[in-house]
Amino acid sequence: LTGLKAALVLISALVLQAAVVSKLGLFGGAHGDLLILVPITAALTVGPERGAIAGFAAGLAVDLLVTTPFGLTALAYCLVGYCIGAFQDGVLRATWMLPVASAVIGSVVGTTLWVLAATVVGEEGLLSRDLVGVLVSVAVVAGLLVLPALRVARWVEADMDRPLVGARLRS
Amino acid sequence: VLARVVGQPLTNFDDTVQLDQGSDAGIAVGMPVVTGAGLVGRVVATTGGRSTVQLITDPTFEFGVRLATSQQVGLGHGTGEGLPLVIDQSIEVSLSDQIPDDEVVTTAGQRSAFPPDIPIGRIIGIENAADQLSLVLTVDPLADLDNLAYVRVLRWTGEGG
Repeated sequence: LTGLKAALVLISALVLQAAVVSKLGLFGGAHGDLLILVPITAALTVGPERGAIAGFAAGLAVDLLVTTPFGLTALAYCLVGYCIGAFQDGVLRATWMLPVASAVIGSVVGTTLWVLAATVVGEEGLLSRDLVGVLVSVAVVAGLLVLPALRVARWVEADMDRPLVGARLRS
Repeated sequence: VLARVVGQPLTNFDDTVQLDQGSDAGIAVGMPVVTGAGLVGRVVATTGGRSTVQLITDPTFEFGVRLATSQQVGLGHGTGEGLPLVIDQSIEVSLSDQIPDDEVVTTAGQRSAFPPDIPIGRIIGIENAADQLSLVLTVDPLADLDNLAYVRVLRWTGEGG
């Protein structure tokens, strides 16, 4: 059932990204990235390993729909999921600030990783774009939406086996 | 071929749109895509009922241009979604006095991926290149790429197209 819920959430996120978020031009005409909240919220609720798996799945779904080099989004999201989960493991006392800060930092790091990886594999013109506008846009959208997204993530993992170690965010 | 735009760019680094017509309607990779205002892009992938169009704002999208008044030809490229195009090759610096305000640039057509005389955009900025030998022109696309609803795919595939 968890897998079914996760698939439903992933498809819904893709539809929302394509139909709403990608049409809302923010800073410098850039828009937010709803899909990067998948690894971030998964990592915050179920830890680094499952955060990385969720990130890989979400990134792969994005890679299937765009013409940029295949696999880069999966790689970036996977790393974001793992790093946010590992960071969360080291936090002793979780506050509401933690998911917001994780979302802002995770989205900026994930987008920067993607740009660097794409540039390394030969994708041209990325560094000449308004990267500041892109980073600010993804950070703002991630920071604003992470709390409702966390509720969705908790609904997905409600009947999942609990991780054995590590502190996890609870409402 | 008239086609409806059914998918916008999903990410900040994806400069493509999806069309509701594909190879079943005679669309092939490389065909130019236009609106009544001007050039939109070219088809980069197609299936039976869908096509993917790379927009002219994509930084990897290069196109030959011709200046309407001087007929000088050059080479331009995109710089990203929502940003102006740049023509930074082959426009001689001596032409700076001959380029009027709001000059329109069109496709060059000479051994180009596009047929000639399709409007591309209006020049909104002129400055000297770093080498001081050529000009760098900034161009605002004529087609409203942020609000594409219907486009026309030209069945033009190069020589004799």
